[in-house]
Amino acid sequence: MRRKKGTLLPIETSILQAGIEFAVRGAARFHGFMIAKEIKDRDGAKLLTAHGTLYKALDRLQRAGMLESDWEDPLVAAQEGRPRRRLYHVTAAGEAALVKALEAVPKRASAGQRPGIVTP
Amino acid sequence: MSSLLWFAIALTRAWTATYTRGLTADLRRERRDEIDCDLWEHQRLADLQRTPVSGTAIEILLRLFFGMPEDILWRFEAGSQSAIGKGTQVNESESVLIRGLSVVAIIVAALPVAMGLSAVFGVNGEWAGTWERTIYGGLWASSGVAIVAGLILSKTRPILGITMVVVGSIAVSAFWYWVAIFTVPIGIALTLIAFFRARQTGWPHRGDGGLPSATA
Repeated sequence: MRRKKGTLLPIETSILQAGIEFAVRGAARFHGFMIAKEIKDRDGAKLLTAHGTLYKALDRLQRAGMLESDWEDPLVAAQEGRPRRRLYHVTAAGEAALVKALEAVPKRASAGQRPGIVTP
Repeated sequence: MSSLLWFAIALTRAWTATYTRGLTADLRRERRDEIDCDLWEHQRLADLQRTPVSGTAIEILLRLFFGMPEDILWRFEAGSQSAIGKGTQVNESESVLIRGLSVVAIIVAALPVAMGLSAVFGVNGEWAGTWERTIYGGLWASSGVAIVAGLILSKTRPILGITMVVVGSIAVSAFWYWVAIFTVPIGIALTLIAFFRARQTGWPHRGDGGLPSATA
């Protein structure tokens, strides 16, 4: 999807919002499926976010410095009998981008524009 | 595990393995591990919530299909970044891979051609001698020919070649709509192969959209 430089896509906003909500609930780090589930529950969607859409957006946010990630210890995953998880967390830049984005939504809506979101 | 769930997981893994080919080992392993983790968590949640297995399988398939265009775009972006970081090594391995995939793709695309021709010229079966058989057989064969020709042309005439592969794949999926679960991903894979063949010549950056430059 093409978009103006310095804006966030809705999926990126949803990911950052979900990530911050996890942190508020005490889970500072999250993996991809947690985000997909959170977005589905919050938006009341029928389907989880598609694999390609979700992981491409996570990759984009990480390259933009809004998320950071690290892989958990494979031994921990092996002990629990599951694949290792890539755990993400929202950075200060991600939080700032989200705050600015949410502030911009009412302004754009009142100006009759699509609810695109502005980053710093 | 039901056979449908097994199929959904196997197809997702096969697709991930396909589009991550040619990337650096780290990038490939990371994407595959991430998808594996997602599939595992999805199944675990379905078990906890006692969701019907068929529902989980269908949801996995839909997540796969709806995400395919983004996977392809991500592959292009990641491939460019890998190539910058690793020089020509990635391009060489990608070249061998694409050549191999092209051969497989042409064999796969020859299937509707063979089926169409056998329908037109065959003498047995309940449709023998009917005009429907000639028309359908001709259309099947034409769809296959469009895909084969598109794959071959994708290096010299990228836009025309890719368009022919897309049109042929859509036609095949429409003719055999009852097996769309197979024909749609195969069609997407064929289109992806045509894209990668075109990209090897420098397209779309070479700008002419037509014949490759002498240095390509």
